[in-house]
Amino acid sequence: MTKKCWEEVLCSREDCPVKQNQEDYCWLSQARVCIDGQNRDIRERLHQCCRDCPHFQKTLERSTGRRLTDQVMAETILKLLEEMGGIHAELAASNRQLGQKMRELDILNEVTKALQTTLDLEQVLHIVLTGVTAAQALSLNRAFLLLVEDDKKTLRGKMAVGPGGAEEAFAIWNELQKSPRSFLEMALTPYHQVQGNILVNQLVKNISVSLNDRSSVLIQVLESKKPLLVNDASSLPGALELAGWLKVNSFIIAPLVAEQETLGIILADNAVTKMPIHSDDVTLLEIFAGQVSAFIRNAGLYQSLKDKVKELQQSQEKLLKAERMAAVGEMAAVLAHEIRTPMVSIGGFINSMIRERPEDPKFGQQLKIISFEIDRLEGVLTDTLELSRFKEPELVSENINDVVKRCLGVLKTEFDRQNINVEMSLEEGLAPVWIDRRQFPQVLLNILKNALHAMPLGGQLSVRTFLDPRQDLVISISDTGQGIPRQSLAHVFEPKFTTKRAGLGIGLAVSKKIVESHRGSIMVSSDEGRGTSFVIRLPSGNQTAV
Amino acid sequence: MGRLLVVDDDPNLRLLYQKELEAMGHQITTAASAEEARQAFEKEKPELVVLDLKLTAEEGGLEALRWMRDFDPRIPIVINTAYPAYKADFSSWLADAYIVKSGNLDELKVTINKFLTKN
Repeated sequence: MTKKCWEEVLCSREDCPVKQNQEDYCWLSQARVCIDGQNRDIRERLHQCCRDCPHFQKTLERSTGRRLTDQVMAETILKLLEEMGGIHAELAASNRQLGQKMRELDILNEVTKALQTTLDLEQVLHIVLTGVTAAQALSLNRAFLLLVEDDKKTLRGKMAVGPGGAEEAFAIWNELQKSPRSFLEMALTPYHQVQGNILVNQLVKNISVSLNDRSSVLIQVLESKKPLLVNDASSLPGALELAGWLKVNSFIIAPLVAEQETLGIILADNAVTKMPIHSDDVTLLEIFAGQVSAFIRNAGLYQSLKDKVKELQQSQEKLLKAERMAAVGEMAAVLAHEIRTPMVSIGGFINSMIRERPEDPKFGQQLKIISFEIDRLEGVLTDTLELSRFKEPELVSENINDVVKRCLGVLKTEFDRQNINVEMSLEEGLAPVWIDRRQFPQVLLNILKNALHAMPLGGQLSVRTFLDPRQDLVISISDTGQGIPRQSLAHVFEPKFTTKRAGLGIGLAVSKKIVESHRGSIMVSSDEGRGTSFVIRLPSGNQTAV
Repeated sequence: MGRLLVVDDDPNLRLLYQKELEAMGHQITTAASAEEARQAFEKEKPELVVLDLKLTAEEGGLEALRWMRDFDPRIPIVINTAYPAYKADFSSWLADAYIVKSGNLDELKVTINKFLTKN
């Protein structure tokens, strides 16, 4: 009786299935055994272990006898076994390669599928970067994407995917192990919902290289249109800066090229695991970059198309506005001309009467008021004419409180008649401001008249002047009138707008223009049914600004 | 004091200018059209012309201005118009002064006196 196989090789493993089953020859066993300490099935066992196993050798010699043919047979079996081992090793390697290629193809396919779902540039970039870092394929720790700017002068970092450090990395990988997510699931998460990647994105957004900087390895890759594996950045002067930014010594750079046009760069490294990057990875990244470039280009084109459309819409709106202004200007000009001649006639004769009887006890005062008002109307006409061809204000230094009082004085009778209580709170000692003596009071009169119209049944009018914390002069005029409906509030400064039944409705448009020509601003707020407030701000030292 | 020709197609304004300028001691002739202005200019030999420019079809005012300038360039012509836009017209530069019409005649009066005392 020959010794059993495991007795012969003195296998120390007590739990060996062959031993436990009391089988004679382990190479004939159906169980998985571990002659050399590794789990192997029968096929591997034969050519990898048994071939060198003295027990197997002896068994072979004993069974073949002494005849030459028997010995030849034994040697042939050994040879065949050896041969088989080689073939098997090759097969296994090819198999591994094939598996890898399949996974790569798979991921390329998935990435392409994902890319087909969107034209949004951010989303496209996110999908690409997720592809580079996905465990199913390249499985690099971090990926960065840089694009050539529209002006073709700069390569600028746009987006990155990857953990900020080892801790974050393990947290993510643990999480993924607990609840695995498919590539598509990760890639198609809307970009604005993607969490993490904060540090790498901060990092990538700081990367900016001039396309003229040929010393940079990034620009070299861009120009050569060939990927590059940097194994030791410290020995490559053009990569030093980049290595400093990324804080790694080894990375891959692959160009993004679509129809001969270089779009940018994909940059990837193993900053966390420090695993070496293989030349296979370079080939794969190159294929990958080639595949996604067209999508990036399309998304970029789509983005610029969207921008252009937006721009076009904006200029169209401006054009419409300008056209409307021009139409109003034309109408106003015609009207102003028609009115001016009779007005000159009225004013002229009134002045003539005043000249003849300067101190007439009965009508003198009234005539002077008429003359004053005609003068003001002429001013309004001139200003209206200037709406479309606006003239620069002629600035004089004035005390704003005096101007406010004068304007209130003009409308005093109206306020009294309508039972409107006027409350003035004018800050003392304000520095004089530079205003156009004709235009600026017009603004205040416009607002005061609006207040009059808004309070037909009486109310409270508050007029304040003061300096705000920025040392701007503020004039605020508030009424307790009917207010302006919310939907109209945005339009009150447009020409033609009016909530009143009478009037041209260009008063506030002119007012705004006048205030702006004084380098100031005018704002309105209103609470329907409760009142309206106008706030005019004139910058301190407005005389130097105009 | 001087002889003035006032050209304006608005009858009320003609009356106004006549009344006011005569009160200053001037002797006033008025004309309602370019044609009337031409006749009065030749006949009265005014020392100064106050001329209205109007945006009517024939633009008679500018035409009259050119004609008067050709006839006697020494006579001062004051444009008195409702249209500030005419300032941009080169022809109006032929005039000695450009006044935008106003119910307040002070500017017109001062300008007239300036030219009359100069000559």
